[in-house]
Amino acid sequence: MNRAGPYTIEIAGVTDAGRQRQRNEDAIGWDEHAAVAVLADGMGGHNAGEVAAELAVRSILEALVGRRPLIDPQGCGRAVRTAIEQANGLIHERSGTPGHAGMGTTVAVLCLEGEGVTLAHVGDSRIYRLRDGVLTPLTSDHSVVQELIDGGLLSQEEAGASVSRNYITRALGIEPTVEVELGSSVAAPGDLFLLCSDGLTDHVEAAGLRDLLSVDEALSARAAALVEAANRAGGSDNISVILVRLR
Amino acid sequence: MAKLVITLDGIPVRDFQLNVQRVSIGRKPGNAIRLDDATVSGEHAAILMGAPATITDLGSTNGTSVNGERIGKCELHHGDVVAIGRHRMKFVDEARQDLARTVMLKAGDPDEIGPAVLHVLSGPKAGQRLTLERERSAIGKPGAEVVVIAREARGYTLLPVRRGVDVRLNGIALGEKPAPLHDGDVLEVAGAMLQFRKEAC
Repeated sequence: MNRAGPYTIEIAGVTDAGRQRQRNEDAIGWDEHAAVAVLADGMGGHNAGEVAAELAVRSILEALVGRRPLIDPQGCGRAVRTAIEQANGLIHERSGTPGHAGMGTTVAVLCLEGEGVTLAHVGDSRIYRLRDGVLTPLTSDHSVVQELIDGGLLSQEEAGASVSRNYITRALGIEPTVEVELGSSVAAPGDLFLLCSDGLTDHVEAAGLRDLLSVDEALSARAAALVEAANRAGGSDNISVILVRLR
Repeated sequence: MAKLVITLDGIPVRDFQLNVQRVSIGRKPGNAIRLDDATVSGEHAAILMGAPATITDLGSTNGTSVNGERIGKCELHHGDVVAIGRHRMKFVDEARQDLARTVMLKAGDPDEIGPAVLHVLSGPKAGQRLTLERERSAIGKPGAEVVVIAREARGYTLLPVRRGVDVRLNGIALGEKPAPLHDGDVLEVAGAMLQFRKEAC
């Protein structure tokens, strides 16, 4: 029996440096029993991005795996928000030490409690849900181009080609506090959630994601196929995916 | 070196290295890039590798689009996406891959940076003043020139958004990199001239 009550949870994930980068500044982690998955895409000079991403994943997982049983989904949302805010504080504090100035990281968190699904993100790491063959984005990037899309000034296609598509407007570790975006939904049997870094979505469009997620293969094989697709398309950034399936 | 990253219905098919002068695209055998798709014409389009590279539609039945817009002939720059039938071809300049590096656009404290306005000097809204109240202000029009003015810790910065559109700063074309804004700078975007002013009082 796990935290997701009526469901059996299966989680698989892969993180890969991609084809252009020496280092992998992404980090991933999960706990099936606690029904939590965390993905982070770090940034900063030298190894600072790796430090920030690993710190985020480790501290958020620790906080959520040890959480007390909660009856209401709002409680889960509060716990996730607090865990992310604490991680922000840790990274920001650490960024005051030599070699770590200006480090930061995005984060995407998925957490289940009974039938309630809590999602949270900061930056341009995303969460999608595949249900009945339909892939739905559950997050909206904190980025300059997303603001322009929301304002009707830019199409999705133009955003993908924009010279400013790499600017994000929120990250963990940059300021003493951070604004976390929380979302929630109700789980259904067969739901498949995808958490991913922009190294995947820069290269593989939504239709491609859907097709690669829909194949009748083991979860780990599907995760590997997503990473391979992004690498075949150039692999210009680190690529990370976590798949969470409910049965 | 540049290449085309080719996808079919969103799934990567292959990379095509653009290491020749002319690259023909079409359904017939003999094309450098042969697309097996009934909606593609026999000889559909051609890419000429110059500075910059260009793509020309060869009078195809169903047309060629670049970044969602139907084209006859147009320049190709890093990140542009060519659509022919069900295929998408992303033009990747391998020297420009650094765009994939995520950067945090950190907002500056408005009290420290101070207020700023744009005076509209010409165009339909001539005489108006636009106060730059938000951390980021978007200027332009959909489908045409768009820029963002960001209030950063070091001051106001002009961010280009779309490639290959005519945005000028003090008469000089804005490149693909952000440019710092100084009091009195004149910006030309979407058919209007705007002057950036730091408000002293």
